Amino acid sequence: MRVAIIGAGVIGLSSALCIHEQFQGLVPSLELEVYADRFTPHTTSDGAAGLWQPYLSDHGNLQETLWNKETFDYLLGHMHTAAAKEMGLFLISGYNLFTEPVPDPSWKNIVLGFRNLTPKELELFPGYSYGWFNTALMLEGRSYLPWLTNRLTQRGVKFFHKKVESFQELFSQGVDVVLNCSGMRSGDLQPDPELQPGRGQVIKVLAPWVKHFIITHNLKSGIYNSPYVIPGSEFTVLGGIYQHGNWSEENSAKDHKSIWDSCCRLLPSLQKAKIVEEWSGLRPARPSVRLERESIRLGNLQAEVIHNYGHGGFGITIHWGCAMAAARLFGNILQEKKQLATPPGPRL
Amino acid sequence: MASPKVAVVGAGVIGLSTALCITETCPSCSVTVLSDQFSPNTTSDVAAGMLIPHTYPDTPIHRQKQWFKETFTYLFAISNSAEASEAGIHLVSGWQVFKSVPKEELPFWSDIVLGFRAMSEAELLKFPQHRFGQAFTTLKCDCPSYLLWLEKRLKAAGTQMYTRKVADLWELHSEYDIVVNCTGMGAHQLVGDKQLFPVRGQVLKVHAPWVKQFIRDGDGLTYIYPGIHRVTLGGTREKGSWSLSPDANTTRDILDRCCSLEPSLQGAQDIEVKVGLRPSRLCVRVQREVLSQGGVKLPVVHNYGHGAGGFSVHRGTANEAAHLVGECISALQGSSSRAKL
Repeated sequence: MRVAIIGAGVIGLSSALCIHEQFQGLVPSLELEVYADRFTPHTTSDGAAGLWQPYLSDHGNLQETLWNKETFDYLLGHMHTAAAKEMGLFLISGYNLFTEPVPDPSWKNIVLGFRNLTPKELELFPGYSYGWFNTALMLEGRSYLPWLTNRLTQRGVKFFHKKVESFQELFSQGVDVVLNCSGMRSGDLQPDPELQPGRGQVIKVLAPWVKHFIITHNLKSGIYNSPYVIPGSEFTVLGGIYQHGNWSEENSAKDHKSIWDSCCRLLPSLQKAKIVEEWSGLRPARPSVRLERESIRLGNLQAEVIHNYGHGGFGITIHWGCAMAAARLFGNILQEKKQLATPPGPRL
Repeated sequence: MASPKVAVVGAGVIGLSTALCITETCPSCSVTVLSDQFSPNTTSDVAAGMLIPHTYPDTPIHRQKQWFKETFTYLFAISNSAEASEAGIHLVSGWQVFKSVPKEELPFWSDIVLGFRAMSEAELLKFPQHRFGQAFTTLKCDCPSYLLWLEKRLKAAGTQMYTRKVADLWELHSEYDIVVNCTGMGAHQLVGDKQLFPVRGQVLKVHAPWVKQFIRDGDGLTYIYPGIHRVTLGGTREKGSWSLSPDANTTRDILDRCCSLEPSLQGAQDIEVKVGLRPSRLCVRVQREVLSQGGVKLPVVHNYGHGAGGFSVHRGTANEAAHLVGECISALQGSSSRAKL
């Protein structure tokens, strides 16, 4: 049973690990292969700051809220292990700021210690009159992806540095199931008008005195189009750009100025921070995550694709819940294939 | 008295902040700082610099609260300015956990720090040996940076600073009008204060930049305080010990205790061991005194004995000491005008 995973970002690697962990014992002939044209540190997941935080509203998509919760609980369970540091996993507290009162988010009981900000705390942020404080998790892609890669390599999963041009290409080589975790470039494999880039740009600085994340919200401009500051283990990420439909991965001077000015206004101590890096990436945005099976007829063969893409700006936040859902779909495929393998019956 | 000459003895956080307050409240004063040690060799340099007050048994609580409030307000403004990184001041959130519910669930400073509340059940799950906890946000001083920043402000205000061991306050009476005694543990010898005693503290400063939250055991013995570049792991409270040499068994013990609160610290690198003697007293001595010898008078303002709470109350006690210096000046001006009559 050959399974090919297309994509080596957080979605591809975690889906591969989840499937291998669950089924390797049950399907002795299970062979996993990861195909990608970009590996860490060049994936979208590497550019993200790595803060676990869903969007403000799940728009009634309870499925996604559940996947977010599963991810948080899974990560929290790893917090006490020696692996946490290697995974790039740590606890972090911080602020979400608004210019008006807003309803509590779907994730208020998932994170730790969620509460509203006190008047004294709001004094720190002139221009913002309402906000939340909570403790969440950071999962840095630059550590997590190598950690996942190591776990997969130890399990005998093979990696191929190759751009897959079509699902057919893999099936014709004898692959039985394909996991499509190709994020932003899914459209190259199968057109999907619902998948659009949500372009982001970030400035990475040295500001080790910043110990909290600060995410501001402008309900009119939309998510991540308002300054945010997220301290990592080495660098602090400054951001606040979300451009729907913009495919450019080039850094923009205008966006740089907007991020720098707005973040320094938010946190004056940043004026002395040294800029280390600048990066642009494309959030694979979709009205909802595409996590479903697709059976493709290829001659007299039924080929199975499991789609797992379109995680927008919350890939890290939702990844493990999605990996487990993908593994369940894989389980269904295994069940069905076993049934197909039963001896011929009444059909004769 | 046109330009009173004030000598501040001691260049730890108390000496430097007191000198700075004096330059602010008495611009006509000529202030000189004298100390046998300057940063990075003071007791303050060893401290983690967390703004979590120590309760002095014999100082009225309202006075301690006032000191803490003034210090917190002062540093809060710096942390929110472009000077924050140079001064080494930043906000930090975290938890204080208790193995058994403390008598006082609401300490006197709970309304001065930010967002003080009891920890939730879910948060306490992370600490299986602890049954109660408090979550809050406070400030931390990166001590060596803060002392350097104070020195810079003092120089800009025209303050002279000299390395000099003062063995007797009377040495200073011919050059200075008023002496301010901020000698911390040195006051034991310098003014013979037998109520002052050392409480030895050993700490580890480690590289663990993924630790963003503080964790403190309510017993005050085990703590993890993330600073700008290093995390301070502590500690010990050895009353009466004068030893400044690091102890290897203590190092092992501190690491074990901290790792049980935060297992990821097993991956901490680059461990530096430091020792400081907290200049402890049942009450902080912020007090005026006029020394007298052979008809000569020497006004002295004492500001020492802050023990484990120096950083938490430093600006408040510096303000009070500067105020007392003002009183000394008025008294001197009063007596000199009487002398003229």
